[in-house]
Amino acid sequence: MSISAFNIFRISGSGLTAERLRMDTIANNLANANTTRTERGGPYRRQMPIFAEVLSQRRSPVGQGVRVLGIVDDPSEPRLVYDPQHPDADADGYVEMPNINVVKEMVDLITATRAYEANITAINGAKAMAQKALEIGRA
Amino acid sequence: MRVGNHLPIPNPQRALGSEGAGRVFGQVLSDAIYSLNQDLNAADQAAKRLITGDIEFHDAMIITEKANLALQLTMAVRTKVMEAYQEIMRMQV
Repeated sequence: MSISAFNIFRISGSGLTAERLRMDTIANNLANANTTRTERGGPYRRQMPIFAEVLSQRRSPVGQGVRVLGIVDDPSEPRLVYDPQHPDADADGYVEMPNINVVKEMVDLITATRAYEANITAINGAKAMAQKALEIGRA
Repeated sequence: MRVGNHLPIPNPQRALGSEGAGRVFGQVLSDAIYSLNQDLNAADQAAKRLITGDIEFHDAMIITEKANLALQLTMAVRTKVMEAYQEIMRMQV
């Protein structure tokens, strides 16, 4: 059924999926905030999801939600921490730590949570409208 | 949803002569119930897939909510039709 209330479900659903993925990358960044060894060598690099809009296939000018293009690494420099005892310390005693700011990750976490809630509010609004429409003519 | 596309006003002569109008409405109702059944089956599947973990919470909730809304819509249409039918049956002959 191509009812527009169901269309909103699909659009907001894609937003929910996107925010969940953002949450996954934030969780992974926090989990690896002190990881100094990776497959590619060097410290862990902060991951960021890239979102793109989904264009309408039909004539409707309204877009059809969001999709994830991919996950990229934050190109900023690693943090240098002086810790000569660390097994990964260089000749001068500095360790390359991941370019993750835990405070920034926490802010992103709150943003992702609120964005998720906003999408759910949109779904509930669409549902409330559909249910109100069913009340037309009733009392 | 454009009801007008699915419910053409039947030609009275044809409606009187055969069960033309009845078939059209029956088809619409049958389509609606088929669609509703698909939504309910999808909701059932979503609950199973949620338990096995290969679907996100929100996707399962959306599918269930969709089925719930489709059920309410179908029941609203059914109630309207039943009201109209009973109104006609109460008519003095």
